[in-house]
Amino acid sequence: MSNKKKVGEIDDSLKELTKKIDNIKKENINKSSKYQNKQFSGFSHAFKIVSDLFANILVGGAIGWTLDYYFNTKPILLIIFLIIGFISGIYTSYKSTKKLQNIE
Amino acid sequence: MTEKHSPLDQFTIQRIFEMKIGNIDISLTNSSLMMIAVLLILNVFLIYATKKKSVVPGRLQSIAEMSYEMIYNTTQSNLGNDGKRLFPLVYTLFMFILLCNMLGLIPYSFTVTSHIIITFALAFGVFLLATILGFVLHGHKYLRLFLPKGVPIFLIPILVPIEIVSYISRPISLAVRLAANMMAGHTIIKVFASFVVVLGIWGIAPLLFIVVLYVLETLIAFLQAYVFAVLTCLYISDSFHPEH
Repeated sequence: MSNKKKVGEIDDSLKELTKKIDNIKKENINKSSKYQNKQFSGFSHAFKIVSDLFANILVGGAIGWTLDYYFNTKPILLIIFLIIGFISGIYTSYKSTKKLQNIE
Repeated sequence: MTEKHSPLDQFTIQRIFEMKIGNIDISLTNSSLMMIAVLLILNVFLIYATKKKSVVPGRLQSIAEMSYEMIYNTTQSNLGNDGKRLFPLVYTLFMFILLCNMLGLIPYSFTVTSHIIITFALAFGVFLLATILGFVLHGHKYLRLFLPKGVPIFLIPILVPIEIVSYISRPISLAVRLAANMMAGHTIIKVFASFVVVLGIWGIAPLLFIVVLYVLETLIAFLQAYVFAVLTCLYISDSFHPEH
């Protein structure tokens, strides 16, 4: 009887140990990735925002111009989509900045 | 003498060996020669560096291991466990762009990544992969990416075009960032190099400036390759979890 109890206790402590080890492993992964990210995240984020602003306006203008060409509505859609492109450029950089803040 | 050397001359593509299949020009140019060189150097370096597999790594082995670990951690932190399957792709992209940028810094060589068509081809490949992967994993639910949760109904006609434009602009943003950074840096160096010739003895000032610029350019060459890898991870992670 007493032997069986001991086996059960050992099982429990083993489970606790595996839990502890798992937790430490998780923490280590998080630590290393955070450290890795912090080194370059500022730079990469700055580059991302600059080119996002540019590319969104470009794509908006291209879509507007193409639709104008097919529907014969010359400047109207171009203007609308340029504005949409501008808004989406700011919206994208706002979203990615918010994500960055959540990580930190 | 100086008028003939435009700062943009370094980006012209020259045919080294002319080849044609039908009407398609497949000549060996200085650009494709550089790419072949990059692939050769990359393969030889990585195979040679990891040949010994000593516990205490030597110089080459530790460079190979560092680059591997850096990209592995990046894919892990951005993609989680799904990152293991995509790690080879991200690592290949990173090493290829890094070596293209770095070899371009050697005088008289050619910077492959300064041409927007090449960076766009790389970026569009990533974009296609992310889109196809998203539709394969989620079916039509992948379109939820364009409609964030908890949006009021009257905002939908405004928000959906915005999300679509921002999605399409991803590969263009990737391509323009890399190409513009490489081209701008190399052009600035060339412009300041022409000042050295013109200024005579006072040319020492721009010469010193070029030295500093070269350090900055090396940093940017590395950083742009890293940014490309990180954003590849980010875009692909959207196709795994489109709900965010």
